[in-house]
Amino acid sequence: MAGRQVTQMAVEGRTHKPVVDRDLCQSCSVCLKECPAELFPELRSDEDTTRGYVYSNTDLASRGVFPPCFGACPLGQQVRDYVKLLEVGKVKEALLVIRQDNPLPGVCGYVCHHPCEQACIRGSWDDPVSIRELKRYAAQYEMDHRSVIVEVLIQRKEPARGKKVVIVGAGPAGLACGFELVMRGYGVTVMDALAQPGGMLVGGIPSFRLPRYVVDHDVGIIRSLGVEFLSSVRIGRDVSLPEVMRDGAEAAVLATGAWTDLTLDVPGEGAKGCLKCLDFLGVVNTGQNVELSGRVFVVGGGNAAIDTARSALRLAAEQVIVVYRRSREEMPANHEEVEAAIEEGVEVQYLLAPKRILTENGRVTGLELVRMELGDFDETGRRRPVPIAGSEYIEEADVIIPALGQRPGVSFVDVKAISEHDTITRNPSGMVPGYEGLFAAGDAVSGPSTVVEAMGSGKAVAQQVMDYLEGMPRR
Amino acid sequence: MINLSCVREKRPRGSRDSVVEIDFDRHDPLMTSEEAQYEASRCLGTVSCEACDVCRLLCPDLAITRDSLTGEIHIDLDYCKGCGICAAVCPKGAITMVLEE
Ligand SMILES: Cc1cc2nc3c(=O)[nH]c(=O)nc-3n(C[C@H](O)[C@H](O)[C@H](O)COP(=O)(O)OP(=O)(O)OC[C@H]3O[C@@H](n4cnc5c(N)ncnc54)[C@H](O)[C@@H]3O)c2cc1C
Ligand code: SF4
Ligand code: SF4
Ligand code: SF4
Ligand code: SF4
Repeated sequence: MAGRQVTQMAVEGRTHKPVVDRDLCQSCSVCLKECPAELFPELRSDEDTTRGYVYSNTDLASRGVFPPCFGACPLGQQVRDYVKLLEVGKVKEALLVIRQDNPLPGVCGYVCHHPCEQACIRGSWDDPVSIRELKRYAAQYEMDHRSVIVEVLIQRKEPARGKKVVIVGAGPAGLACGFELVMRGYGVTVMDALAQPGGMLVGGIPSFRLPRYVVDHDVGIIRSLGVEFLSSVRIGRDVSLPEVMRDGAEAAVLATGAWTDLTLDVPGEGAKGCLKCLDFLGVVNTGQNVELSGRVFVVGGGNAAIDTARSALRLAAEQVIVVYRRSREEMPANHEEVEAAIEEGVEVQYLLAPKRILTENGRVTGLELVRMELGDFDETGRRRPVPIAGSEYIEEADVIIPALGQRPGVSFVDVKAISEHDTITRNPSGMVPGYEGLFAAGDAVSGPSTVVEAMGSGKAVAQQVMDYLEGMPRR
Repeated sequence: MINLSCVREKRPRGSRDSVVEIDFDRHDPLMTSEEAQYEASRCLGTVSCEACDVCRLLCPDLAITRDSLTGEIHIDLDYCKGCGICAAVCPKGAITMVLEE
């Protein structure tokens, strides 16, 4: 290692050198953050100093971020700090640390896909620290002591700037963006097509994974900070995009998510009994009384497929079978959700793809499946499933729900601003090309992602909106 | 709109024996405070709390002192040179650098 050689070299005038005791170091990074060359990056480019030499020979990118839980969280949560405060029973202080970076602590405590735990150093010894569950625990404190938190947040709020921003879409991206902007002193209105705010949190993810009072609480706090919510307003139907932008707002943000279900593209898909995943979850989520009958097949391997299957089982379907075209390892759904589904009685079958939906009088009666095997690696780094010729067979089926993923399906912005993946494009300053003052965030830009990634995107765009409104230099 | 013709009126729960009944909204109970403290203690990081002393120990000008009675941290601005190290290292983000008037 180039770096090590240098530390052995005596620097003129130095009387002591720092040596790290690896047994004692807890990788807290305090020393790293305090080194002048970290505080003032310009110092790293010194050409004739030890410091300049060390940095030009160090691969800063591969050094990673410490602690790794912090580096892995898309919101940059100070995990170690809040966990250590919880250890000594300081729940309120822990919560205030969480609140610095996370506007939806309750929601994340339930459904975050917790990349922090995958990265946790403790995991290489026994099990990672249950960071998400500790967040859930801390968030409960907030629900029990609502006024204390609101008071602190109102103190943290910056003075009003007299400017207004409209956000379209009240999902995690829109909520995080709205929270950030209201805290910075802007007036914020969030419009949404659904009857209540939350996006996928209320319209997609079922209540057995995310209790609605948790969403209501987190949204309620954002409302208490001054964000105005307009529900049941759909852009492109009830009001046009130019109208939204003209409505006294200096900037607007599209955070409309990804709500168009991908289709199977096999014969028979239009038959009665073949449902659309988000339509089905939407009906379940709005508490309408439904019951499925018979054998239900869910096609797909993501969180939506597993949620659909578990919902179907709860609605007392006789048998629920998830078919996925790759193997268990490639399945994108959270591991513990799959485990829970199987425990409840959902069957999961791998390496199978639907070929045809059998119908009688326009109703689903069966499903023809073909066995798959894994071939070469594709561009996503996963092995491509290939059908095995002649392995087709027929299963009896009453209901088929393809849950293959979604795409944004945005119709109210100009086609020139839509990418080949059907997502909204942005220029480097975060603006949608062709629209002055219009920004975009979340799944509408990235395609389907996760709650924290959408929130991270919303926060980043809030900064870009602010740069724009305050006339700061744009990148 | 949604094609739910296969979805029938809800039957009373338990009308079908073959089905395991799952309470729709079942959730695992929250951790107790003892469980949370134990789980948190498994984190390998160091304790960062109020008055952790990190800023005091790292201040190059020894301008930070701790009140021996209350344990509070004081910054003596007569000696502080404004380098910002204390603000950068404070694990709680409790110190901010504000512009001098
Ligand atoms: C079934 C399911 C389960 C999931 N489970 C998890 C999980 O466990 N963990 C996880 O991290 N992620 C999960 N996800 C993914 C996660 O929900 C999304 O990535 C996230 O919600 C995206 O946030 P968003 O704010 O970008 O969009 P969304 O949450 O989709 O919100 C967009 C909002 O915009 C509104 N909108 C759209 N068009 C218009 C319009 N024209 N006018 C007005 N309003 C409009 C919509 O009504 C919606 O409220 C799941 C997704 C699904 C479908
Ligand atoms: S990382 Fe923290 S524990 Fe390790 S040497 Fe630096 S200051 Fe000390
Ligand atoms: S230059 Fe950086 S690493 Fe070296 S003694 Fe100073 S702070 Fe420590
Ligand atoms: S928000 Fe998610 S990734 Fe970030 S610390 Fe919390 S559980 Fe981990
Ligand atoms: S032990 Fe895990 S949770 Fe604790 S600081 Fe290290 S990576 Fe983060």
